[in-house]
Amino acid sequence: MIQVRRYAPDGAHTEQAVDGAITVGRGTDNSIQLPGLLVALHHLRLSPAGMRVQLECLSPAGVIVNGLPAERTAELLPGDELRVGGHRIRVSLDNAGSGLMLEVHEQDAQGGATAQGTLTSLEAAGWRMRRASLIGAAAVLVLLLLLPLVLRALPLPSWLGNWIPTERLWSSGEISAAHKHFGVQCSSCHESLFVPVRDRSCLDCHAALAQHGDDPQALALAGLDTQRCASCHFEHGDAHAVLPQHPGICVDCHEDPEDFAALASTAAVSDFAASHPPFRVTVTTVRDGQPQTSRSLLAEGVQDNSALIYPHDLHLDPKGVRGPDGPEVLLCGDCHEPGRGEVGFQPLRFEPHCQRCHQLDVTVGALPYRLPHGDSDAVRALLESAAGMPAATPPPEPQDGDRRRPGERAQRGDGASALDEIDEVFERRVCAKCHEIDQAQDRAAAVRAPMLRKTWMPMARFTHAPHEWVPCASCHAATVSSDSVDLLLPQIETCRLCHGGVESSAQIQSTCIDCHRFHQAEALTMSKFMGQLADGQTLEMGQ
Amino acid sequence: MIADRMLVRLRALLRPAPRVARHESFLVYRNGYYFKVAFALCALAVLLYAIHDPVEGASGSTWLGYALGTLGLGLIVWLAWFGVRKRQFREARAPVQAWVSAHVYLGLSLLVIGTLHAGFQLGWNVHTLAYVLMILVIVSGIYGIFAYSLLPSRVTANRADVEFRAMLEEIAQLNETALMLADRIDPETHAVVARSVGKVRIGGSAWEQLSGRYRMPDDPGALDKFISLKRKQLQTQAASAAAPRGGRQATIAFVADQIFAAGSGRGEGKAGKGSETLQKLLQTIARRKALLERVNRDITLRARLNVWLYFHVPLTVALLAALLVHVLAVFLYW
Repeated sequence: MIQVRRYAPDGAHTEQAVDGAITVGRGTDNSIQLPGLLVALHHLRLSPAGMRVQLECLSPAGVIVNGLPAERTAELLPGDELRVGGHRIRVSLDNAGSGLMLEVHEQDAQGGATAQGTLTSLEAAGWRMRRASLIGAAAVLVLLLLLPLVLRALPLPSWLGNWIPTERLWSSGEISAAHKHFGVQCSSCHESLFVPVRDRSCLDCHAALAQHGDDPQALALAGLDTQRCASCHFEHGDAHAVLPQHPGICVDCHEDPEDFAALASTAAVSDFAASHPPFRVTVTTVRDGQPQTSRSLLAEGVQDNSALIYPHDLHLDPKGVRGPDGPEVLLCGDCHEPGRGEVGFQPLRFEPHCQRCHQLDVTVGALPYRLPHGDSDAVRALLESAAGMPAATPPPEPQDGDRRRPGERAQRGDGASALDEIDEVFERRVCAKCHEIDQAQDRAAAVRAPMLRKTWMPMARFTHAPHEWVPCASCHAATVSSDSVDLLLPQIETCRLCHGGVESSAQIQSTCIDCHRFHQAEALTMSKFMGQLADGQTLEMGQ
Repeated sequence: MIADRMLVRLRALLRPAPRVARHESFLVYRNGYYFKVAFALCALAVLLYAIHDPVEGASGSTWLGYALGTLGLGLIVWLAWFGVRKRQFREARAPVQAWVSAHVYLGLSLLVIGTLHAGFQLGWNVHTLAYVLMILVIVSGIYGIFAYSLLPSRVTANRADVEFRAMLEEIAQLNETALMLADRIDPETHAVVARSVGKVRIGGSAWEQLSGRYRMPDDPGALDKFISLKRKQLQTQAASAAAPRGGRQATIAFVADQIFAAGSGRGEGKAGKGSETLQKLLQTIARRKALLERVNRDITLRARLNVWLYFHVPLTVALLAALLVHVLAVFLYW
């Protein structure tokens, strides 16, 4: 005796009790008759035995037990489920819990027509637009906004930052190489959210930076006093982007100098190739016997009087000059040795550069003497003692009033011949070979201190190292210069043979800051060329 | 103008033959009005980008960068609104076709506007993520343009004026007919056909739908099985009834005869009726197979027609989220 509860497709159910073995099939003689052509006339036989049911499949069409195709016979326990032609038969306990019950779920005849695994669209196959949208958007918001905001407040070891979504994901680009070591920490510069980077973040390190000018009023007129560091220095661009190369930064003001009072004396400039004034140089001129510094255009014939006499053409004679050991050929680099860091040149000095050929030997009273270099008084003292003269004030000039005839030696009495000899050493025989001699009426002849400039262009910088491969003579006409007052600097046209404007495609693209500095007030803080004066020999004479 | 010439070529490409129905593709809607708008927008952006020479180099933080970024953001939000607009059937201000045309061309113009906004600066950050998502959305959209231009006509041709649901119903009917016929032959045949019917699969997994290669669980084998079963049965019948002399050779000859008789329907009496039924069953199963292939082809075409939307829409939503973070990040850390 077993209870059979039968559910119609609409949910209504009927119950009946069946004795003995139960047959299931399409035929009307079955105890459980199921509709549908998928069911055989006699499909199953179910024999209850205590709390179990013996299953026997009568049809080759088979039966599915608990989702799997079954053997021809099987033993069913409460909870097992059979599938026959789309219908479900479930073995369960009856209401009293003491006997077995079969729950028969009839399937809709129409639904049974289509097969089980029918997936006719991507949506049926489990694809969902809305779910993917929500997951994607949530992932973006959590990983790229919320987590970085939270992690920002936590003290994290720096190595961890590479593995978790931190605020570095907000970075708009690579930090420049110079700032990278602290730039990985956003808060190094970005102190608080929604506030642009403050200047003090930069000036903490760049403390000694000079302004563009020393006149606060001029800076204010040019609008430079309100600019932030970040107005010109753009981070997150590239490895070197923080150094502004664009000429626009300078040219904005310098192409219209008439608009700014502070630029009244400067020329308009907008591009190195197309619009750059000729070079201007700082040179020494001698007026009334006094050396003076002046600025002038680097034109033909501009002279720089260093008080040295040095004909370059003679020394650079390709046939050679007379050296201590016979003729030798001098090269530029024999005297002009690169300075430290290959930026400028080492100062020219007598001992290493001149003395080997130019010995200061004189013969006084048939005795040879070697004069010291660099001290006119010492030379005079040595010569005076050699000539047996007391080192005293020179005797008064004879007051005869006769004028000397041209070419005739002045009458100087007995003592005069020794003085003559000393003057001759200064004025003709030794010193004057290389030096200008000061001859004042009331003083003895003396060597005028030479003034060799470190640079004639203090407003720009020029580094020889990158130009090493160019022969010296292609810029400096030294081999044809017979006078040391010749300023052997090339004109801008020479530079333009290789250097073009920033847009140039055929020439080297040259920007303003390739030669000029911005943060360069009077003190020239950033100029590499402003160093110590060189041993008192090389004189830097102001701007 | 270049735009005009490109449009003429595009139109020639899209007009295979003069048609009776006055259907205008969204690609040439209103004489390509939105194509011209998008082209002008791109040309203007490129021109400005070429003229513009910012001190800090081209990027999103110049005035042109901000302008292009604002324009791009506005376009993206507006284009995304299309997903809402196309469901508002009662809205009558502009036809959906106009929206599609604008959506397609202005969406494509974002390739230019977005790239110029970025100033070709890419990196591992949220800004580039937004850019990449935008590119992916556009690329999936380009697939959509091709799909919507090429596939609908093939769907129509494949269906041959039969609705999809009607095809499914016909398969169900053929299944029932097959079962009925098999039932008339004998229980074994019924069982085989019932199993074949029970196992028939229409469509399949997403990959099967897209690739068009469907797994057929012993559907091709069903007929073979049926034949071999039948043969065995005939063999035993022959062995019991008219034991043929000559052993194996004779048995094979006899079976062949039976099959031939069944196939040609020349048999007589009950055997003749049986073979007729067998013949009908064979035809039914063959028809069902052909119909199933057409249904699967339809499923494949529709899957290929729609697959891009499953990327286009979620990527768009992710893009909107990334854009929110992108804009916020710019102002979080100026």
